[in-house]
Formats: sequence, C-alpha cells, structure tokens
Amino acid sequence: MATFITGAFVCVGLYFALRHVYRNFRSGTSDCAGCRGCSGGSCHHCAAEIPDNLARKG
Amino acid sequence: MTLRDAKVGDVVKIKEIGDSALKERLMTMGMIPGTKVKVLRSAPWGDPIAVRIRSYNLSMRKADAKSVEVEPAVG
Amino acid sequence: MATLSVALTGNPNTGKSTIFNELTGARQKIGNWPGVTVDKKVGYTRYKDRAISIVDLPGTYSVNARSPEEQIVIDYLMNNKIDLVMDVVDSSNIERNLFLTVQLLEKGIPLLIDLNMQDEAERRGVHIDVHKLEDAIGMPVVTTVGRSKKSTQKLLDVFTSTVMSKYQPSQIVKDHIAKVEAIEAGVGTEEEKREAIIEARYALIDQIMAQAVDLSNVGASKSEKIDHYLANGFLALPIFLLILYAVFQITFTWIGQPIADWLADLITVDFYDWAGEALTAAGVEDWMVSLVTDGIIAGVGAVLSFVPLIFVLFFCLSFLDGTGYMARIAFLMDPIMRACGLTGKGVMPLMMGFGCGVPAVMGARALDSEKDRMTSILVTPFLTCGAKLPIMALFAAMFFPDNAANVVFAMYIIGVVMAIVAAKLLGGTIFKGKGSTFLLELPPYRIPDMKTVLLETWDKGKGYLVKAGTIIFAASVFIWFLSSYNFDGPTEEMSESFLATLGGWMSSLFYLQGFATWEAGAAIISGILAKETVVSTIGILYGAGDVDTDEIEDTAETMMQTGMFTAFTSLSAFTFMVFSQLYTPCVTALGTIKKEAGGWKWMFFSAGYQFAIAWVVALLVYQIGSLLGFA
Repeated sequence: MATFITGAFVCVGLYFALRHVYRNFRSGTSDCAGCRGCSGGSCHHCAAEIPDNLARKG
Repeated sequence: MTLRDAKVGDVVKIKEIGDSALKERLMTMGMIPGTKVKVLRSAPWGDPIAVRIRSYNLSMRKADAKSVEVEPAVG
Repeated sequence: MATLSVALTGNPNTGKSTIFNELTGARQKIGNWPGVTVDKKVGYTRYKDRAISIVDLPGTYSVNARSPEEQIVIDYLMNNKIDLVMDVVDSSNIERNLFLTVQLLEKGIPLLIDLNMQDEAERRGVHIDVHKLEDAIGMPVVTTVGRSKKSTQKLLDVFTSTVMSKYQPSQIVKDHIAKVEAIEAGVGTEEEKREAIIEARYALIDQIMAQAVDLSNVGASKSEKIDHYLANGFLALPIFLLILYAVFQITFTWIGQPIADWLADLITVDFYDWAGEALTAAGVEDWMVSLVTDGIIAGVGAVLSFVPLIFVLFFCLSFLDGTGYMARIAFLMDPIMRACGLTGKGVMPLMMGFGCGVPAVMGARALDSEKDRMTSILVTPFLTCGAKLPIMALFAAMFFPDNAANVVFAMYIIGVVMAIVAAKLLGGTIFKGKGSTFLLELPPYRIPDMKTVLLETWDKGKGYLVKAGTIIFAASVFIWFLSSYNFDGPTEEMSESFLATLGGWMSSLFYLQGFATWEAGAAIISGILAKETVVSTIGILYGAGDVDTDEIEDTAETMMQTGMFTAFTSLSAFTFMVFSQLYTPCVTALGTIKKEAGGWKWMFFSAGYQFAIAWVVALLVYQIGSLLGFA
C-alpha cells in the first residue's frame, strides 16, 4: 500500500514534469538559466515567441 | 582630415559624414556637421577608439571613423 | 476608477528599469511582445486608491522601426490608449537623450519628461533649468534621482494628477514639426530626407539646450577618469581578467561554494538518510525506496546543491552589468573579436552564453551581418553555461580541492579560447565575407541598484530551479531505471544494467582520453539531454553527494565508497571536464540552433563538429598531460 502511494506521487510528479518539458518543446520555449540579454537596453527574453493558441490556454 | 587621423586628446569639429553603411546611425547618435568631438582613448592595438560627443562617450572603429570628415577645433 | 495606464520609454542606460522596479517592486509580469523575443515588462501598483499599470518599453535611441525594439516602442505608443507616457532622460546625457524625445513629439505623443539621475548631472556640472526646459519643450518635466523613496513618491503624485492636460507643445516644437513635414513633402531621395530630418532634430535640440541647459562647468566626467584605467590600451586587459577572476573567487571560494557544500550535505546526506528510513518504516518496498532516494533525491539533489553557486555567479554578472562595465568589455574585446572576423558587439551575446546558450544563440540575431550571426551561433555553445558549471564545480571540488576556483577558471578560459579558434576557423572556411561594424555607447559608471540586480538574478536563476524540478527530475527517474534494470528484469549490480551497456558503448570512444568507464559514458550520453544531467547521473551512479569535500583528504574510507576516485585520476578528471566543456550542446540549444541558423543541417553540423573538437582536444590534454608526467 505504502509502495503504491509513493509510486502514485512519483507518477503525478513525472506527469507534471514531462508535461512541462513537452510544452516547452511545443512552444519552443526553454527554462534557460541566465538570460544575459538585458544589457545595452535591449532585452531578448529567454523564451521564444509563444504561439497564440498556446498562449491563450496559459 | 578624417576622425581616423585625429590623435588621442584632440578636439575636432565634424565637417561632413561621407557615405558609409553607418551614416544614419552615426547621425542619430549625434554626429552632425558642426558637432565637436573629443578623442578620448583607444582599445588595445589602437582600435576601436572612444570619443566624447554631446557630453557622452561613444566607441567606434577606425574604419568607420574614416568616413567622418573633420577639422581641428578648440576646447 | 479605471486603471491608470503608464508607459515608460527612454534611451538605454538611463536608469529606466530601476525606476520601473522602484515603482512596481516585485509586482511585475515578464512576458513577450507578440512575434518577437523581446521582454515585455508590465508592473502594477496602487497609489491613493488608484490602480496603476506600468509598461516598461525597451530602451532605444530612436524610433525608426529598424530594430524589433524600436518597432515595439512605436507600435505600442501609436496603437494603444495610454493615459501617460513618461520619457526617462539621463540628465547628464540630456543632449542625445532629447533625440528620442523630439522624435516622439513629432508623432504627436504628449510626454512627461523625467530628468533622471539629476544628482549625478549636477555633480558633473550639467545644470538644467527645469522651468526653462518646460517652456522650451512645452511638456511637463519632473526630476528624479533614480533609487529613492522620494522620487518614487513624486512620480506617483504626478501620475495621479491631471497635469498632462495643461500642456501643449511649445512654438519651437511646433515649428520643428512643420519643418519635418515640409522636408518629407519636399524633393530628394528617402535617404536625403531622413538625414535632413535628423539634422533638423539636432538643430531643435541645440535650441532647447541653449535655452535651458548650462554646460559651461562640465569637465571630464568621473567615468572618463575611470576609463583611463579600465578601458585604455593594454593595461585594461589584465584588469579585465582580474575582475573576472574576482568573480570566480567569490563564486567558488568565498561565498558560493561554502553554501553549496552545506546544502549538498543537507540534501544528499541528511535528507537522503531521513527519507530512506521514513519510507522503509512506512512499509514501502525496497525498489521504490531506491527509486526515491538513489534516483530522485540523489539525481535532483546533485543539481539542486549547485543553486547557490548559480545564484552567486548571476548576482555578480548582473552587478557588473549594472555598473556599465559590460560595454567596456565589448570595447576592449573588439580587436580580438575583429581578428576572428567578428565584432566586439558579439561579446554581448557571447557573455549571455555564460548563462545559457539558448538566449545567446537567439541574441545573435541582433548582429548585422550573416557571417557574424552564423559564427556566433555556432561558437557560443563552447562557453561554460550555467548548466555546465555544476560539472566543473563538482570535479574541481573533488579532484582539486585546493585549487577549485583556478581549475574552474581554466575551464572558462578553455571554452573562450575554443570559441575564438572555432570562430576563426569557420570565418576562414565556411563563412567568408565582410566583417561588420561596431558602434557602441560607453555609458557612465554607476553603482547598480540592488533591487534591480536582485530581481535580475532571480529572473535568471529561476530557470535553473524549474529545470531541476522538471527535466532533471524526469531524467533522474529514467536514469535510475536504466541503472537498475536490464533485459532480465531488476539487477543487483549496476554494472550489468542497461545504462552500463549504453555507457560502455559510448565509453569505448574514450580509451585514449583516460575515462573509458561506462559511468563516464553514461554521463556523457545523458548530458546531451541537459548538461545538468551529467551531474545528476554521476550523483546516481557514484552517490557523489555522499562525499563531503572537507573530509576527502583524511578519510580514505569515504574515498573508496564513491568509486569516483578509482574511476578517475586527477588528469582524467581534468580531461573529462575539458570534454564536457566542449562537446555537443544540449537538445534545447540544438533546437534553438536549428531555428536560428535555419535548418537541420546546421543543427547536425553543430552537434557533430563540437563532439569532434571536444574529442580531439580531450585527447591532446590527456596525452600531453601523461607525457608531462601528470596523473
């Protein structure tokens, strides 16, 4: 039983983790560590453009 | 002479900006005929150079400074 | 009452972002402008029962719609109903700053002009008469001093008043607008007209300056005096290296590493033990306990324990960025960059590469020529990104405990040197063509605003945390599975697992580099997923986190426990670091390269040539090192 519950937690975690990775892939975004773009006034954001249909769903 | 020939410490006045890919950008940054430019320093190996213009500092390559026609000026 | 909408515009380096951060604090949302990779920063605040939303537009010198930033500014201002547009002007640099102001006035946009850094300007001898300036332009003027409660209060007071309705452009501005219209309607090429308009704008600025600003007391600025040392001739290069070196000492010796060590101990020893015992006590079967502890906690923990390092490093870089020194680096490096056929401006995207290759590859867009762009894209991944940093930090701490910072510093240098060499090679072979230009403002030196630096640090470091919780978490579970099973089901011996087989294939490539163990091979494969996984894989395979670096020297027992010291010698560990530094970029970076360079061809090229270069360089390092008698 305890094994089952622990496993369920891991699976839920995996689901969210993989969903996040998949969404990043779909929308071409990334969780890059460290956007050095914000110098010289122009700020290139880490994430690429989010397609409208995805952006609306959040 | 051109801005390229100006020595560090020289103050010059812009006469004309010749044809260059940068012409419009140079003008936007304040390089207009009549504007005074002071050559402040150069990077290692003498290029690019830093100049004071309209009370701020701008750096540019000598190749681009060549298209800026200048004459000596005071202060 | 409806929400008051405010837009901030202005030149780069005017302290606009600081004002924005002061006004809104942490109540900001960072998104994207539609269609482009430029930050859209929106913040919210309340003042006197009035809700205020503030948009921080990108800093630009003009609005000619030639760059995405300029396009955004003009589109946003022309197409939205905004209650108040504030033009932030750096007082000590008012002359050039007014160019944007004049251009916006031409478009018929009423402005609130904020003379920022008023104190700094006064110290420099730039004296601006606020009332005369208001009269000359015909728009309201406020003065601020950057980060101060009083300035923020003052701005909010002005925002919520109805001051704007009382003003209209002065006669000289109206005359100027008529003149611009005349030029546009007149004869001549488009180019000639544009140039004539620029001259007309500066003519107006000269008029305004003559009326309202006294520059007679201005001498050489403090920044120019500082630049005499920091950006002058050859002396500046060692100073640059010294500053970088100091950043490394702070990160890897003084502040970052001690915190990281403590955190590693907490997660991979204390929490690991506690979780294992708790789960076993609750009756969880052994294999599941192993998944949670040996898989997830060891894998994610190995990556998480480097969070302090990442944040300290990003803090230092954001701080340097805030001082204005970054522009000097571009200035100093231009001769070297030019020798490789690149531009000093390319240093900016390259510096981003120390954070993450993805924005760095995207940032290359800002470069003018195709050659600059492609070369930048292909050489950026050689640099030590934030995700490679843990690999370097881990190996350096374990194998070179006395010289950790120096060894990591050496890795950064190797990355930079390889990037330069590769740029030279690519420039001489594949991308022949004209080099581009270099025109850059050297902004005044300033003491950075801490709030802005901290917000930026958090912004940058956040991605690392998110990755640890998602892709690293998933990869840890996957790698645990691969390391605990084979075709016959569960295996007691890791060396008989799927992972050992896979890693074994990969490692057969590295006999000549001295790290032909399946563990190293597995780490290298997983590193293509995300560079952090090299560390989490090693964490899972060796339980590397169990080793407290302080005890390494005297506890032979701990050394044997990990197996890492039998698998690597100091030399092969160093070689492994070099290889990790240079080989194939992670999948995310590869995806970005495909998009930015325009095709699968370049993606595979990038993956292949970096692997080849890394292989060769690692070979040289190991073989020459052996010949010289290192082990």
